[in-house]
Formats: sequence, C-alpha cells, structure tokens
Amino acid sequence: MNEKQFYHAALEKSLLGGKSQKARIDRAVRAASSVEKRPDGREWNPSPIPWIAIPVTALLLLATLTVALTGGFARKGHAITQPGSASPQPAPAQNDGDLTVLIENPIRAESFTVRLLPEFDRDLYDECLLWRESQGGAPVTEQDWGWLRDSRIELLGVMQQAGASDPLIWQIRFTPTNMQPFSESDFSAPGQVLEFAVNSAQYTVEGDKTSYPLGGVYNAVSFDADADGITAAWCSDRALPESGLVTVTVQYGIIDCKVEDMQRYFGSVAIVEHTFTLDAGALKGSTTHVSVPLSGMHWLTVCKETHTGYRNEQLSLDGVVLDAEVCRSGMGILLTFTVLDAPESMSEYQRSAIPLSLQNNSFGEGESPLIYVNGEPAGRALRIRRGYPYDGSVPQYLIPASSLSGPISSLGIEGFLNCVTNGDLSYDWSYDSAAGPLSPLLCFASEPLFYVDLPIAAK
Amino acid sequence: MNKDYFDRVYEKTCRRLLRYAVLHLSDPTDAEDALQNVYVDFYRRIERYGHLDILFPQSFLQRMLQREIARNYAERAGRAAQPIEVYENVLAEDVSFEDLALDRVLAEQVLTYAKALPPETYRVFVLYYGFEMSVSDIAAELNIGKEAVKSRLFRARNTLKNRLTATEQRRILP
Repeated sequence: MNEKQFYHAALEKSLLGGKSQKARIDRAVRAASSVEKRPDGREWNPSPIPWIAIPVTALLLLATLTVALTGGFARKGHAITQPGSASPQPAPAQNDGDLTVLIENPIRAESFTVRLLPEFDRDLYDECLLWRESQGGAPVTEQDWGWLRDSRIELLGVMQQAGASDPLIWQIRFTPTNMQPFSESDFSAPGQVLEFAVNSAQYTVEGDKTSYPLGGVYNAVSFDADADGITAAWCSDRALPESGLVTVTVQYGIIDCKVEDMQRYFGSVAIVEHTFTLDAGALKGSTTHVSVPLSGMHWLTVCKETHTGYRNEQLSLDGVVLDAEVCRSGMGILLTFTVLDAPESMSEYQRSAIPLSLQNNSFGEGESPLIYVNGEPAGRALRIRRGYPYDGSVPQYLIPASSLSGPISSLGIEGFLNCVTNGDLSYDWSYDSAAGPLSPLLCFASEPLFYVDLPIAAK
Repeated sequence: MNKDYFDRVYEKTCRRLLRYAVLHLSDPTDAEDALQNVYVDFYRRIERYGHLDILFPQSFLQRMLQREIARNYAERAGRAAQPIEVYENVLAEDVSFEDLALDRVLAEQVLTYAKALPPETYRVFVLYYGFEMSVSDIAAELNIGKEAVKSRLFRARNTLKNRLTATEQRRILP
C-alpha cells in the first residue's frame, strides 16, 4: 500500500464509509425525533383539531353522500359539482354571510430597511464581494442598484391555523418601484434575473429578550425586469406562542442571478429586513371543512414503490374524496387539501400522489386553483411556500383578502391536477436512467378536476 | 418504514453531499455539521409528512444542503475566527506506509490528525485522497491555483507523516 492508497483507505474507513459519521447522524436523528420542545418549554403536540374534525367530516360526508344519492350533489350553500363534467361557472349559491367581515387583523406595527451590498456587515460583505468578483460580476454600485432603495415591502397578512402547533404563515407584497432595466442572465431561466429569497426568520416575545428561530422558510421567488412586484406567502415550521405581543423579523436577500450561486446567498445585492409586531392571541383563524368528491380518469405522477424514481399513471379517481380545510382569517381564506378517502384498490403511493399533483409543483408552473367570486373569475389562489424541506408536503393555497372585497353571494374554487412530464404523459423516470431529473420538465394540468363552493359565513 | 427509507437515501446520497459540503465549507467541522443538520431536518420532515412526494431525494437534499451552507455563511460572518492548531514538523523520520496496519482505530486516528490541519489544508487533503479528485479539478472548484493545491497537499502529507511516525513510535516503544 503506497501513501496515496493508505490515505484513501483511511478516509474510506473513517470519514466516507465509516460507521462513525452515520452513527453520529443517527444519534442526532433520534434526539430530534424525540419530543420537540416549544420555546416556552411545552411539548409540540399534534393539533387535536384533525382528530375531532375527522369524525365530524365523516358524518358530513355521509350526509353529503345521502343527499347525493337522493337528489344530486347540491346542498344548501355548498354546491359540489361532479368533476370532469363540472362547469367552470358555479351554480348560484345562497347568500348566507358577509365575507368582508373576517377575523381581526392582528398586525400592530410594521417597518423595513433595505441595505445594498456595500452596507452589509463586514464579513458578509467580504464573502459576497469575493464571490461576485470570482464569478465575473460587476461591482454593486449605487448607480446600478440604488433603485432597490426605493423598494417597498408590505405585509398583506399573517395567520396561524387553528391548531396550537400549526405553523405561522405570512403574505408579503414586494414592490421594486423605480426599477431600472437589467440584463438577462444565462444562469437563470429566461426572464428571471433576480430572486427574492428568505435568508432567515425569527421572533421575540414582549418581555423576553430571547430570539426564537422560525425554520423551514428557505425558498425563493424569481422576478424579472417586467414584473411589477412579487406577492408571495411563506410558511414556517413553527407556531408562535398562543398569546402576547410578538415581533417577527424576516430577512430577505435579493439575489442577482447573473452571479452563479447555488446557495442563493453570495449573489446577494441587497438585504431587506422586514419587522412586524402582532398580537399572537388574534392570529388563529376559524376553521370549517368541505368534502370534495373526485371522479374520472386522470394522470398522476406516482413515486415508484422501490423509491427508484417515478412514473405517470392514468388512474380512476372514482371514490376519492378530498377534505378542504377552510380557515378564515384577516389574511384571507387558507385552503388545505388532504385525501379523506380513497378506494382500497389504490396503493399508498397512488394515494400520496394526489396531494402532490394538486399543487402547481416545483417541476414547472402548473395550474393553481381558480377563484370564482359571485360566479366570476377572480384570479388564482396563491400557493403557500413552505420552503425546504417542507415544500410540496401539503397542498395549501390562499385566497387573499384582497380578492374578497365587496358584497359576496358565492365563493368557489376550481382545482386542477398537475403531473410532471417531458412532453410524454406516460413519462417514466428512474434514478439509473441517463437523463437526470433536472432535464427540462413540464407540468401538465388536467382539465378542471373539481369545482367546489366554499362556505361564506364563518362558523 | 421511514427509517428504512432514510437509511437507503443516506447510503445513496451521503458521499456526494459530503463532497459538496467539503467543497463549499472550508472548516471540516462545519462541513460535517452541515451534513448532519441536513439529514436531521430531512428525517424530521419525512417523520412529519412522509416521503412519497419527494420524487428526487438527491436533488431535494442538495437544495437543503445549499440552504444549510448559506446559513452557515451567515452565522460565520458573525463569529470570530477560531484559533487553529498547526502541527510543526518535529520529526524527520518518515513512516513506512507499507508497514502500517490500517485498522479502524488507525483510520480514525488519521482523520483526527487531518482535522487538526488548517481548514483549507484539510479540505484539499479530503478532496484529493478521499474523493480522488485531481489537482486540476480541486484548483478549479476552489478557485485557487494548482500550485496552492500542491503546496497544501505537501503540507498535509508532511504533517500527517510526522504525526503517524510519532504514533508508531509510541506503539513500538511505549
């Protein structure tokens, strides 16, 4: 064994192939998967709401099916049309509430700052500048990027679902006023030259100087020179305390995609720090559930049972029932979809493919649900971004409060299924195949999968 | 079920992710910590929401690692540089690699010595010997000259040889 072979073998036995690294990770995993603690020392318990909601929803479902068997799917104020044959125009619904009266807005104060690269903390400035130079990026000057100082960030809403452990969700509008034209990047997708990414999020509680992290928010939204701004909603992996005045600070990076930067960090040209104070006691929304029966043949992207890739399968969705959790708050209406029921013939993998396909997932821009107010299209629902590693796990959409102004006699959404494809619907991909998963993929959206009327009045 | 899946994904991905972490984080402990944090978050995620919506575990973990590295940079910016212990060349005698019996204990010993090298030296050592990257590739990836890579390798080899020689002498002459 020569010297090179010796060192290679030593690293193989220790760092690379040894059991110590895996044992260390296993220990950390075991520690993490034991009970997680809240900052106040209490346990993170699963929300009791689903356990109450399931039998209640099952009873509602039974009642719905009884009505359906005896006289169609329409029921008072909650008309559910059959998928496939669904008309995009909802049937007139009974006016049984006023959506303009939502839960009290909990925001008490809000502010933001914008710093350009030369104003970053010294070490961060050095890191970003060095990287930028190494990638051939031009210096960040006031002349080129000063327009970012005129940008505005505005909190459109914040909410926490009903459960005590439900994560914090917030929606922002970022408006880069006085935007100067900038060139298109070779690195990013056409037209996408800047990214707006969450760098960090944390909160403090009045009377307590400790800063608690809000994790799982790392995600980015791209925008180009033609964009008039970004509207996005983020979801953390933590809930805020149930009461008290809480100040949340979110730091967003504005990333110049001309600088190759897989970390989405070194390419930062500006940092936006957004702070808002809210009354945590007024955060919780009021929640109801609506059942959504599906039917017809549809393409789904299904994980292979061997976990060696995925394939598209055309499946009958007859007998599949979704649960749409409808949570009303000052931010708007949050819809969370889960599969309530599926035929026994459906495998666990096929069943799990439904929530994934309900999203306009990250493989391409699929179709978000369409909103109908008083029977008229009113834009698309906004997908909630959970950030890695939670993004994609739960299909969740927001009907923003801005879509719900004025007298409302009916409110509905039209949902779609989105599957991954490279142009061929019967796409089949394995990890061993030559074409990598990052080869161009599209999202194929089905014909409208369902139309559902949402309850107007708060329960 | 989730643990089986986790173990399979770990086996398939850890080497590539570690290489990525070592390439992007100069401090050896930071690279291993980042990897640990990523796998812990990944496990937490599949415990909470399952894994059947994760079609590309490798890409999924890669994205997580990228964010973890960014987070590390942000934290590093705010902390003082750690003093690094540098071993001086105190012994002239070379160890004979032919005679060394490479068991797990010695392998761990080599890793411990390597981690005590200056971080940039350790990084080059692991990339060259562990991941068997060429000097040219390392230079290109780290954006440094080939001479810098060679000199770090030379320093690493020299230091480790001396440490191993001392260890061997202690074994033979307690």
